[in-house]
Amino acid sequence: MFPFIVPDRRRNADPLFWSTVFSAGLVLATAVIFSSYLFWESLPVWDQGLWAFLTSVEWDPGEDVYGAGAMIYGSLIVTSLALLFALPFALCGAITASEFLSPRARLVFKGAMETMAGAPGVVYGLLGAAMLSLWVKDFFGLIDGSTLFTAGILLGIMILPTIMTLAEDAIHSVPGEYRDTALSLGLTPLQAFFKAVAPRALPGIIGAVLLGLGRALGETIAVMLVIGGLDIIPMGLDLFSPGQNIPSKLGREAAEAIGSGMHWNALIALGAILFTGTMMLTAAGSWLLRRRAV
Amino acid sequence: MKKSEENLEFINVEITYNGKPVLTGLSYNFSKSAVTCILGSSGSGKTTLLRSLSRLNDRIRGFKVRGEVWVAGEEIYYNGVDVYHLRRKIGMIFQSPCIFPTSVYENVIFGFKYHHPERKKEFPQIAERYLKEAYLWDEVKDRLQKPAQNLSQGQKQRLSIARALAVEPEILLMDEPTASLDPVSSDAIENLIFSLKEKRTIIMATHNIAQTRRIADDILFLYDGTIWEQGKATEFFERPQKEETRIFLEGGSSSSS
Repeated sequence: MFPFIVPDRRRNADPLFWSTVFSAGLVLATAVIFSSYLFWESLPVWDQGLWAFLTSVEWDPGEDVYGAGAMIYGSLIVTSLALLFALPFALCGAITASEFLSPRARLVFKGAMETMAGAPGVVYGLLGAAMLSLWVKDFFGLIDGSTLFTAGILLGIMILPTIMTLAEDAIHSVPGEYRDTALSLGLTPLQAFFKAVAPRALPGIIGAVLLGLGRALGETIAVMLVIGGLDIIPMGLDLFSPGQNIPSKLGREAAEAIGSGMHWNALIALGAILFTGTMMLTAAGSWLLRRRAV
Repeated sequence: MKKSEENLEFINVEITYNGKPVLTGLSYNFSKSAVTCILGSSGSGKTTLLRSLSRLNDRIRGFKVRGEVWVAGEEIYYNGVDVYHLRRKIGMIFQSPCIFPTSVYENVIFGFKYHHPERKKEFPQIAERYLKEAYLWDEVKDRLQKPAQNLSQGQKQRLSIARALAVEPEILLMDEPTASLDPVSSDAIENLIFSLKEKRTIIMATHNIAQTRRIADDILFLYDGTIWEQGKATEFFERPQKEETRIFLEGGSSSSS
């Protein structure tokens, strides 16, 4: 029985061991059931044509017509914007904290970043709706500040501390010998960082970015409050137009669509797309973080 | 005051960390083109002394050097000294070899490439010359583009020496360079040190007495944060002046061979 468990452990295991095996199995089973359910429930939508569902922009539950194009587009745009906005600040912050701050200042900085990284999305959403939306509206002279751009910037602010603190961990974990060796060869501290420390920390930094992206891709409530909620792909890639991404669509319609047939199946299909995307990002991030430890 | 270009000297130096003295009353003039071994038990300040010669402790908060440290005719703790230029004159080899996650070739030319990016055509010759000087060429010439991480520990240490030599330092500081190596690799490094001292001044921190006997020309014995004894290696081993030195040598002789 259970050939995948280490044989020695199997023979002389105590009840506590079996309870941990049960818990681990439960987690695994949940993951399998969860993903199977998502794909099973979305089968009716796939049957109507996968390509059509992925590319069509029309979403009309009244006519039972469902296209995920606008949501996929919105997700890609806001996630890319978030990354473009967050990455430079996150990396500069991580380099500064790891390489140039005193140990005490670094701890304070890291504490602040970790608190920010742990703050719930709804708090960011409220601040986004109350402040960022208005600033975007006033600054760019828009009628409404709820746009793809606003959602992207807000997501960028949200993922910035996550990327910064994980990237900082990756940089800080590079042994001091790398810095000393580069410095002893006559490099400046900044050059020592770029030439000797960064290449070694790179897998960890990429892992941090991917995990941040995973959060950006899945964030619901904050985006819902500032994205505008229109299922459109704006003309000319207009970032200052309202839009929709997958989580915000799910957040808006899930409650009213439960058990409603095709509408529900279509929302589950959106969930499956999102699940696949975040799963791929998390897998890539974990793989790179594991490589860092080698 | 200006000193000779070849001068390497401590004059009444005190090194403190957060106000606590680590080394005091250091005054010593190192011989040129010789191997000076800094002997002393763990924690006696050997590494601190070595690192202070290339100002590698500057990044440590609370670390202070008082007195004069002269390297190649320059007082190196004087304001305005170009510390990055200084470090090109003083190479440093660490206890455990630090190899960058790239190829053997890129590791050798790492420092040279940074200082002379315009001499790109010379990179292959530089790599070959210094790998040969570090007696590593024959072992790696067929895998220059392979990851350096796959080399043995002894080869890595010789690679780190080749990398330091490629910056063309006049002085080479070695902090227990054979401490993490097997006896065969240690012998290879010792032979390398012999050949290097013809052109360079070598200062090596160690607590391996047997090795010191084999390679040292001069000895600096650190005890209790100060220079306890100094002089020619033969005299030091044959006629130690102080009781603490005798105890160290007897204890050390039984533990290292």
